[in-house]
Amino acid sequence: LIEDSIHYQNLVRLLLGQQFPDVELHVAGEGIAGLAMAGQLQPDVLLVDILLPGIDGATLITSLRSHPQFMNSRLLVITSLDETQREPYAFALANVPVVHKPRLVAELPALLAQALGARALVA
Amino acid sequence: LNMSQGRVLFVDDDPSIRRFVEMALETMDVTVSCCGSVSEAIEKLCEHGPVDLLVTDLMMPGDSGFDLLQRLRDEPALRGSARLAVFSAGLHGKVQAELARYGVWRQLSKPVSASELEECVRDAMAWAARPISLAVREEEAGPGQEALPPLAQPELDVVQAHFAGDLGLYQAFRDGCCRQFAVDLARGEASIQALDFEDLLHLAHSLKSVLLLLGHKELSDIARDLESRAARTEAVHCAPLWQRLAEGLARLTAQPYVR
Repeated sequence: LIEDSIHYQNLVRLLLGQQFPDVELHVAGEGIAGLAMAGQLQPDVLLVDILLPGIDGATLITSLRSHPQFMNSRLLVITSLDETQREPYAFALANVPVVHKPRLVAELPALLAQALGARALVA
Repeated sequence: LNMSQGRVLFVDDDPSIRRFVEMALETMDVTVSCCGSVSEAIEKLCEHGPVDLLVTDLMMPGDSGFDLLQRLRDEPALRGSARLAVFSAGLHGKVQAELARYGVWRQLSKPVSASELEECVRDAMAWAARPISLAVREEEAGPGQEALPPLAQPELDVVQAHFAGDLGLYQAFRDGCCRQFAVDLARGEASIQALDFEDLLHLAHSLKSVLLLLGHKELSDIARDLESRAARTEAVHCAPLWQRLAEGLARLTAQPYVR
């Protein structure tokens, strides 16, 4: 999880603890640390916020996609931006599932299960 | 056995605590079973099927509460959709994290008051009986029994709209937010002093969405204004907006959600 808001870090941690107790969660609070951590851990799934201090999430996603080492990481974007506000980042968000933060509890579990399931098929 | 009633299973080896639990929940509209051991609890679950809420002690002779949690994880049919709660002495960081990994929804530290127990049961039942509404809750309390003190409707709406009806998740998140707001207050204060608009912008952006998630629309609107003023580095507007936001956060931190 690359997310600067402690509140949303907490919410994702609670949600995963409850519904995905076997998933190991690592958290980075800003973009550059997140990129370094992602390189180190090569996670199965990356949850990325768009507006981040340091490097913004859209640039981060573009960067991830240009590195073959992340080919096996599934991406999910979480954001409080609505669809209009997301337009400037459209270049990075094509074909990436996006969760709007007000719907995080309702939507993230299914998308995450899907991403983890897809990974299981690849493995 | 009234099948429409919520079902609660308590596991504790101490007979005086079992008696206390039975008395504390006597007036609630739920069926309560108390067991003295993990094996007895599993026997009950096998025989009568899953319950709505299972509360267990951790340290018991024979199998421990952790053994019970492991068994429920291994056999999801035994657990069904039960909310899991633990009541125990000595719940510290490492144990708490371990319990969270088992999907434990609420952790009660002994000694537990009757009202804490009631609240735990009430919240678990509200969750089991989704969607929660005041009307349903009042009907559920049978004749001759007092209606349970209801949650405030705006809070219930928030649980429905933003937490998929999961009251426990909402409360855990809200409690964490109240603690974090104290940190946010100090950070905002420092940003204002240093005219660090970049940091203020990120803080306001985060608070805008968190406050909305928790149902505090007015405070969220202030945070949104602050975000856009910070983006334009308008110090003269940022200071009073932060002041109002800080007052609101301080209220939430000092007095988390009186019902």
